[in-house]
Amino acid sequence: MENTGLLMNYLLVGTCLFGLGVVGFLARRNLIVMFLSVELMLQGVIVNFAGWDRYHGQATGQVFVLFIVGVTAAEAAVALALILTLVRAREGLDVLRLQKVREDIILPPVPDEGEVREAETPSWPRLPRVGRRPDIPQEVLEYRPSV
Amino acid sequence: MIVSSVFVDNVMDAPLFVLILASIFTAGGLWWALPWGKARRRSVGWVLVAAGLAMLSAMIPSVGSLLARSLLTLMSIVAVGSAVAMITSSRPLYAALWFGMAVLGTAGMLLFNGAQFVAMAVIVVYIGAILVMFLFVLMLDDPKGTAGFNRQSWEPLTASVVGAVLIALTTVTWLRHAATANGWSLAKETGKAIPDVVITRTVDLGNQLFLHYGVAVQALAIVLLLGLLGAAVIIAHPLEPLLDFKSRAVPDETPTANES
Repeated sequence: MENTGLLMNYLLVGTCLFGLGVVGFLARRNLIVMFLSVELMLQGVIVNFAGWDRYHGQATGQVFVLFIVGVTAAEAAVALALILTLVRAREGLDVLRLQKVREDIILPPVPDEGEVREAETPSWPRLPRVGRRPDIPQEVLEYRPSV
Repeated sequence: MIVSSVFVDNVMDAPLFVLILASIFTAGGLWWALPWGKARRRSVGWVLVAAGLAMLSAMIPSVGSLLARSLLTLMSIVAVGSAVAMITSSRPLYAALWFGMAVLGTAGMLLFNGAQFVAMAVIVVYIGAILVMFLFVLMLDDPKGTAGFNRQSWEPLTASVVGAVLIALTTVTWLRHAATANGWSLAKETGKAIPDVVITRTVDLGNQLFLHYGVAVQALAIVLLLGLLGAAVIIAHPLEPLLDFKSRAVPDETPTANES
C-alpha cells in the first residue's frame, strides 16, 4: 500500500505537469514559451515513467527516460533552427505572424499532355509604378481579422 | 586522530558518516549562535543547528521516512508550482527561468527514486543545453514582455478549462483503475519491501541500456545525428521575408500567376 501511495504521488505530479503544458501550449503566443510548454509535457511523461519504474522495481523506466531526453535534444536542435529562420523572415517571435507560412502565390498546376487548354488568360500589359508610396500605419499592417 | 581513522575506514558507511557530520554541524552552529559580545549575523548558526538536528533525527527510521516523504512532497510542489508560474508569467525570460525550476523539481523526484544518472542527465540536457540556447533566442524579440503578444493570451478561459478537464479525466481514470480489485497487480507488493529512499540503481540502468536496448541506443544516436544535420540544413537556406516590416517595402518581383 505504501508503494501505491508513492506511485500515486508521481502519477499526480506527472498528470499536472502534462495538463499545465497543454494549457501553456494552447494559450501562449510566444513561440519559445510554446516550445517550453511542450517540454513541460515531456517532463510530465518523465515523472510518470519514473514512478512506474520504481513501483515495478526495474530500471526499464529509466531507460525510456533517457530515450526521451535524447529525442528532446534532437527536437530542440531542429526547433531552434526553425525558430531562428522564422524569426529572421518575420521579425518577431509572435506566432500570429506565422499564420500564413505558405507562399502568397501558388502557381497553376501544369496541364497534362493532351489536355485541352481552354480559355488562356490574356496577358495584360504591366504598368510601371508611379506616384508616392502610400504610408500604411503599423496597425493596418498587423491587423488580422480572425483574432 | 581516532575520528580521522574512523572516517577513512567507513567512508561508505552512511549512518556513521551522517552521525559525524550532524555532530559537526550542531556543534559549529551552536558555537556560532552563542553570544560572543560582538555584533554579527547569528542566524547562520541557527540554520546550521537545525540542519544538524534534522540529520540526527533522520537516523531514526520512522522520522527518516517522514523526512524523505516530506522532501518528495516539497519537490512535487516545486515542480507543479514552477510549471504554473511558467505558463502564467508574461515575461518570456522569467517563463524560461521558471521552466528551469520545474526541471529541477522533476530531477529531485528522479533522485528520490534512486535514478541519479538520469536526474543528472535531465538537468544537464534541459537546463544546461536547451534552456541556455533558448535564452539566447529569447533576446531576439521582446525579452521584457512588453509587446502585446506576450501580454495577451489566446482564449485563456477555454485553454484553462481544457487543461483542467484533461488533468481531471486522467486522474479519475488511474484512480478508478487503482481502486479495482487487482488494479495494479503487476507490482511486487508481497515481495521484499522497497525502502523509502532508494540508494542507487545506476548499475541496473547500465545493464538494461546496453544489454537489452543496445539497438535502440544506436537508433537514438542516429536520430540525434539526423537532427543536427537537419538543423544545419534548415539554417543554411533562410526564408525570404514576405513583407519587410521596417522599411515597409514589398520585396520585388515575385512570380505571379499572370506571368506564367
